[in-house]
Parts: sequence; structure tokens; C-alpha cells
Amino acid sequence: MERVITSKSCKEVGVLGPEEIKLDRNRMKFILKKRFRHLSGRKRLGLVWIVLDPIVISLVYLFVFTVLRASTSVQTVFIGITLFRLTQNSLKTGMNSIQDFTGGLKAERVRTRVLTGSMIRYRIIDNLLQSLGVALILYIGYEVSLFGTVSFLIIAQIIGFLSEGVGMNLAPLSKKIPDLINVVNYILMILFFAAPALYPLSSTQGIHYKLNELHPFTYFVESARYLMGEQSEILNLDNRIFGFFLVVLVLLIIRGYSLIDKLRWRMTTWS
Amino acid sequence: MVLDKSSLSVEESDIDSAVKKSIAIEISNFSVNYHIFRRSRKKPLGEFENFHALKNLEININDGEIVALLGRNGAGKSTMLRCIAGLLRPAEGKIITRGRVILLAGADPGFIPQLTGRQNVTELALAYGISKNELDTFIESIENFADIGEAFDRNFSGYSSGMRGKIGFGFITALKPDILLMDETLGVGDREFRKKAAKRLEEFIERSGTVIISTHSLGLAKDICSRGIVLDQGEIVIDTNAEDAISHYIGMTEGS
Repeated sequence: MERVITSKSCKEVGVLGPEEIKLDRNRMKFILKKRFRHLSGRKRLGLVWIVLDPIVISLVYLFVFTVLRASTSVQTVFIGITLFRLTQNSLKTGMNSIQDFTGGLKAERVRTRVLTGSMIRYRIIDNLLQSLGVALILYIGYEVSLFGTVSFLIIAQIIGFLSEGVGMNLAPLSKKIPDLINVVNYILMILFFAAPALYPLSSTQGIHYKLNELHPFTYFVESARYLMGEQSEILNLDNRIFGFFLVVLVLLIIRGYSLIDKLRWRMTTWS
Repeated sequence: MVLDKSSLSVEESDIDSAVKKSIAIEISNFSVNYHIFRRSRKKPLGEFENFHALKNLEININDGEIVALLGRNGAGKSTMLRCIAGLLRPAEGKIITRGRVILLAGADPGFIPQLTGRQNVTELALAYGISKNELDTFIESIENFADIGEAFDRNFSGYSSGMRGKIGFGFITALKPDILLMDETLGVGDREFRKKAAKRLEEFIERSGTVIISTHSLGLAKDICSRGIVLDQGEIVIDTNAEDAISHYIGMTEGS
């Protein structure tokens, strides 16, 4: 196959044959396995830790609430913490997405479609692993309906992708200014406590309610709580703000994925 | 006699495309700049400074040619190979490559430390396009070449750098590229292994269509290359037959 390399792109001429499509599929599998192996490392429980993480964190907060004698329900905390951890992790993954554009194969260039394909697959599996444990606990232990459980898993997928999209848009900036990752960590911490992750929106009033209304996360977590039959304010929130956030976030993820090829090429000479 | 112009133009274009097909690598007006990020008091958020690594290269390499790329450290040899492999973006110009390009730089095709040598070779083989039918023979050839015994089934993270190098070199040299780019690779293993590696490399080069070798080993360049290109400060100093290129390079380095 002929490859044309210019300052704008590195493109192959012609249509991919069945052999090449098969090769790309194998490469996607390889990259995916490599990423998950990197995550699990030499840990005995491996990927189970991804499932356990939101459960453990939720239990810690529930313990704190019993000390404070706060009346937040177990379901509220589980849903909020899981979705926020997912937001946090996906955003960071998006920001780190440009660290390695070789896909781990060092002797040959891999096509951008392989990288994009493996990133999408990784996100789907990661979102599922991060939300599955809590979904099962809520379904089995707290009698959440099957519809509610499936809705939770779908919202987890949506929030994971949208957060990764935001991260991918911040990625080039974080490459130029590495300190940005620290700033983002602090912002995420503020957003965690200023979002209805640990408490339902209905328990807030005045300025706190107003601030939460301006937080995109609120709309997703409150939707999840509503669909799971929990206390939720989603029906009282302004649909136009939700629509606005949704459009912006969808545009960001489209921009993020469509920029991979350009960005990957541009960054090869950055040092 | 009346000439049929339309048939003539068809023949000319056929010849043109035949000539183009016999050129494996076309490099025209090619320059590469590295962008180095710097911060200063005036620009606390930093800015990119350009470093010119390659300037206005014009080279055509024919199918089947074995070319030695010579030059001092920092002359731009590795940059040029990485560009041809599609791993570096040019500032201007164009490279056209025809066929599968493999870059042999170091001896790590992308190993995963958590896996054994055998598992690594199996997974990487599929990712590098080895079919399931060829897989067993492929793994066996690497196992025999690396000759590390039962360690082949041990975890890769416990390997010495020599063992990793043997498997890595064995792996890459078992692939079948149309264009092979080699960047100084015989630095791994003991004396016995290097002998074995040199032989395998020879076979690999014979099997590959077009080869560019960036090397400081003038003996290797003289023995196997038909053409030599000398680079200095990112520019081509001379592009001729291998012997003349080597002489020129010797003269250049002795002069300095």
C-alpha cells in the first residue's frame, strides 16, 4: 500500500483490503489488552479493583455519614460516588490520551482508526467495570428495578464518554503546561463537593442549589437517581440548561475523537 | 506517416507509472523541525522554539536497493528513518513509500512485562500481521534463535536486558517488510549472540525488498550496501555508491 507523508497528514492511499482490516482488528485487541494489563499490573485481583473502587469509596463515605449522623441514603451515595469517580477517571484518561500514540507497537506505524477504535472499546469496558459492581449491589441488595439498573449502566456509559471528551480537549494544553493536571485535580475535588454526588440535590437550598444547577454532573446523577426510583430533582431542573450542557459536551467529544489524527501527527515533533 | 498521439500518451503514462512503481521511497523537498518547549520570564506559559533537524532532502530509493545512511551523531539519520516510517511529521515536503515499512530501532517491538516471552511473541505476532497458520512456525523460529531455554516461558519482567534484546531482535527480524529501516541495532547480547544476529540480519535484509541502514559500522555498509548517503547537520552531503560514500565520510570525520 502507498503511504503519503506530508506536514498535514500521514495517509494511506486506496481502500483497505480484508487482510488489513483483520490486522487492524488484531491491533485493537492488542492495544486494549495491553492497557488493561497495565492497569491490573501484578495485582492479584487485577481488574476487579476497578469494580471494587467505587464500592469501597462509597462505603468510606457512608461510614463518615454515620459519624456525622447525616441522613443520606445508601443508594444516593452509591449512585453519586460511582458516577463521579467515573467522571473523574474518564476525564484524566482523556487528558492522558496523547501520551502514547504508537499503541505500544514500536516497529510499525498503526493507523489512527486502530487507536480510535481501541480508545472507544476501552472506554466502554472501563465504564462498565466501574459501574457494574454498584449496579449489581443496588439491584440485588436494594431492590432497584431492572429498568433502573440498566438505565444506570447506560448513564454511566454516557457520562464516561462525555468526560473523556472534555479531557481529550484539554490534552494538548496539558502537554504544553504539565501543571494543568494538578489544577484539574483541585478543580475536580471542588466539583466533587459542589456537586450532588454525596447528597441528593433536594437536600440543598439557596446558593447551593443554584450552584448545583450550573454543574453538568447534577443533571446526569439526578437523572440516574430518578430512573432508579430514588429521591431526585431532575423534573424541577431547567431542561434548557441540561440541553445546553449536553450539546456542548457532545460537541467536545466529537471534536476530541476527530482531532486524534491531527494531534497525533502534530505532536510527533514536540519535545 | 501520421502519429496516433492518444496511443503515445497512454504509453508514456504507462512508462511513468512503471517507473514510479519501481521507486520504493520518494522523498521530495523534505524538511523536519523539532519543536522544543521553553519557558522564560517573558513567556511564563512557554513557547515552542524550532530546531531544524532535516533540510530540503531530495532522494529517490528504488525497489530492492540497499542504502547505507552515514553521518555523525546528530546528523539526522534517525530522524530521517523515523520520518520514512511515518512516525515523525515533516515541516514541509513529501515522502511517498510503497509497501509495508518496518523500523528496526532497538529491540522492543512493544513487549508487555506482565506476560511470558512466549505469550508476548504470540500476541505481538498477531498484532504485526502474522496469520494463525504461520504462528507456530513463527514462535518456534524466535524461540530457537533467542535460545534462552525454559526462560522463554517465564515472566518477561524478570528478563535481563540481553534476554529481552534476543527475543526482540529475533521477533523483528522474523517479520516480512517491503521496506526495512534499520537504526544501529546490533548492540545487544554477548559475542556469540552477535555472530548469530549478524547472520540473521543478513537473511532478513535479503528477504526485505528495500533497505536503509543507518550505521557507524563502515564494514557492514561496505559489505551489503550498494548505495551510500552521507548526512551532515540535516543535509545530504553526498549521495553515491557505497564505497565512495564511505570514503567521503571517513574524509569528513578525519578532517574534523
